[in-house]
Amino acid sequence: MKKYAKNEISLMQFIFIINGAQVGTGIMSLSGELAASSGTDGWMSLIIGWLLNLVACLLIIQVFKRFPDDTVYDLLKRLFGKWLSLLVVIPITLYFTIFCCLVQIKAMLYIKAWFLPQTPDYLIMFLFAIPTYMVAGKGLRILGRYNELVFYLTAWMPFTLLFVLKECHWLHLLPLFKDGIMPVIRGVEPSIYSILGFEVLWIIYPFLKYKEKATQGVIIANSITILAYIMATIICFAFFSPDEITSYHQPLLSLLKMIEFSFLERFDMIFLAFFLFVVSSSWISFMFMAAFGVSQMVRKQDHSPYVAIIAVLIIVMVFVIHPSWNQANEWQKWSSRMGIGVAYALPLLLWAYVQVYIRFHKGDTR
Amino acid sequence: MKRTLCCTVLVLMLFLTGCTDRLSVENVTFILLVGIDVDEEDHVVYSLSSPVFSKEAKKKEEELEVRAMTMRNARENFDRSVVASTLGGKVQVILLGKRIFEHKDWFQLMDVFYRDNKDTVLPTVVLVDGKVSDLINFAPKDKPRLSTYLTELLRTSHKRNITVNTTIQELHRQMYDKGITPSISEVRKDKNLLVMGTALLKEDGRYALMLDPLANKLFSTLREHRSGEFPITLTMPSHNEDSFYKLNKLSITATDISTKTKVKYEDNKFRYDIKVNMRVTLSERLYPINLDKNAKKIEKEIGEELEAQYKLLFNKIQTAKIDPIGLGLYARAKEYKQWKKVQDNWGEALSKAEVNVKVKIRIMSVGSIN
Repeated sequence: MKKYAKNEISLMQFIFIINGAQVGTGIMSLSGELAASSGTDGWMSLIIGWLLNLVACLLIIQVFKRFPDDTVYDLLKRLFGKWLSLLVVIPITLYFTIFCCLVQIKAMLYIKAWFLPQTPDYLIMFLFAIPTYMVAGKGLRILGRYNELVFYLTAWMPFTLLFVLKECHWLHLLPLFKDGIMPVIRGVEPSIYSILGFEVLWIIYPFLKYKEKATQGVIIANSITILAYIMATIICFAFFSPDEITSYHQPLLSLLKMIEFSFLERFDMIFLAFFLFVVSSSWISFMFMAAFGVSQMVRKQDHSPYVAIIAVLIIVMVFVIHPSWNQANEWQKWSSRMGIGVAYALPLLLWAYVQVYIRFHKGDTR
Repeated sequence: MKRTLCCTVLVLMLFLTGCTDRLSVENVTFILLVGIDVDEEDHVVYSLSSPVFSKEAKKKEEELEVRAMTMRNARENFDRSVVASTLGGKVQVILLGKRIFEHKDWFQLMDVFYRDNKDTVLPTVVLVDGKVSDLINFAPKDKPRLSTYLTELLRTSHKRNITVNTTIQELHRQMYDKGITPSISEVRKDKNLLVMGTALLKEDGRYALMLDPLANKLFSTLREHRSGEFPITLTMPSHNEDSFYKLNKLSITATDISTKTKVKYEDNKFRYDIKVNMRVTLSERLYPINLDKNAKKIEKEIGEELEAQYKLLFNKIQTAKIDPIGLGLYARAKEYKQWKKVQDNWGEALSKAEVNVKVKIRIMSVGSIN
């Protein structure tokens, strides 16, 4: 029984949905956070974070190995029954919703700070909601195509950072392991927060056409993300003095201010405008996952009305609260902790449970 | 049904003017020069200058000087008198009066340049020897507008390495990094504008000393990022010159410079060994010597003379307990343990350090006559 056959996605779409969900606004402030926790050795924490991600991804794939046509919702229902599974399903859906909301709020704050300081925030959110509905309201395949397109459209962006190479001071990076290994480990926490997003795997796995390529897919997706992050971080570290970088909220954007052509000032603005595409692929992915989760919970086939409902809720929420930078950062901290649960703890627990489950239900896993 | 919905939304969007805060160019006054100074009565004075694009106006720019609490506050005052609303994102040069540097903490006054997303971080920072108001009100008849004149002047003198070119982004780095002290251009207004050289500041931002153009060139060779030309004229002490015209002079242009800096910590102090390799073309020689036959000898002589000059430079720097070159960066990268002990007092530590500069010259060409 192939429930999701009509929305199957290719390997490329699979890769870019994961990658799209991972890369959001975090990359702008990442180097500052890493510098605060682990100095100029912070980029090594990213590598550890990447390894942890791969382990978690492989665990998720292992969990699904026996149930290749299940999303996490089907799987939990199968393992724990209809009602008990809600205990896990609701937090997961809530997490996707909150994350989607947060990414949008962050993007809105960036737009307000850089382009439209006087435009009301809910209006920007409303404008976001239109493409969100158009993409996330359709099937996963459309989302995959969108994310793939966005990736190709914006693949040049990391390379613009090379313009500041001549202003870099590579001496900042030395010596490696300045204060031993501990700061590097401390940096793993902010690293992990910034590369959350692969947990969409919980939902998109059964849609993948060739399941045997899943491992390859998650490795490629995580590597693309981490390469972009490492590149941005190392260039920020080499450009800013280790003593000053923590005083910037978004070191990457401040760095882009340095790029100026004789025909074009303020390259950071252009960069940010294009970067919105990248960020949109993140919140749209999360929006799909959230709406899909809700539709599974209420057992409806079509998830698109829930996209509209969630989008309206988010707009109303912004209209009422008018989130500030500080609030958004505070919420992000909390939702990232939830993310640790969904992306790292859940795979481990489910994997262990599935091992036991299989032993007791030999033969009737299908 | 769906199509109608789509169309309705699109039509509605036409009426959505998201840009309630748009600004037309006609309604904007660009601030090109910003000055901060301390006047006789110890008040902070801000001055702003912006170009006037009007055929009726005789003067090319309008200026305002105001005692204000902050930069933003000063801009408000500017708004009260100029034709259009002011915009700060186009500032070219920031002029700081020399009296600013008598007290530390002046750097905090610059906060707005770093905080405002709309501001650029590429204006050049300049120290004015004298009053900023004299300079900003200066309207020479034979020169373009002051902002253009000043930017061009600074750009070309940096190209010849008469002075440094410190943007406010770079200044931020130099102020915050513990291993380097700030260095900015110094300008004076006599009859014309005159680039004096490079002002070196202490770690807390107070004025330390000034490097003349020759010293600045040597200083620039040692910095991490070099650019531009290095024309150097030297007095060769080996040739006793009793002629009226003092003919013991030699000019070279260093075309290709590479430096290697090594740092070690021994005997309770840092030791720097700096090797400077220069490929030069000889552009002028006033005393008689056969250049083709004595090339090796002259190379050695130039090297020794430059080494002596470097020594003078380091004497100045070490007595002032500053580190404009950024030798602290090397100490941090190579001798981190020792650096950590002295990082908050790096100027002191560097003043005790031993610095050896070795110069190696290769003459690539002597020109068309012998």
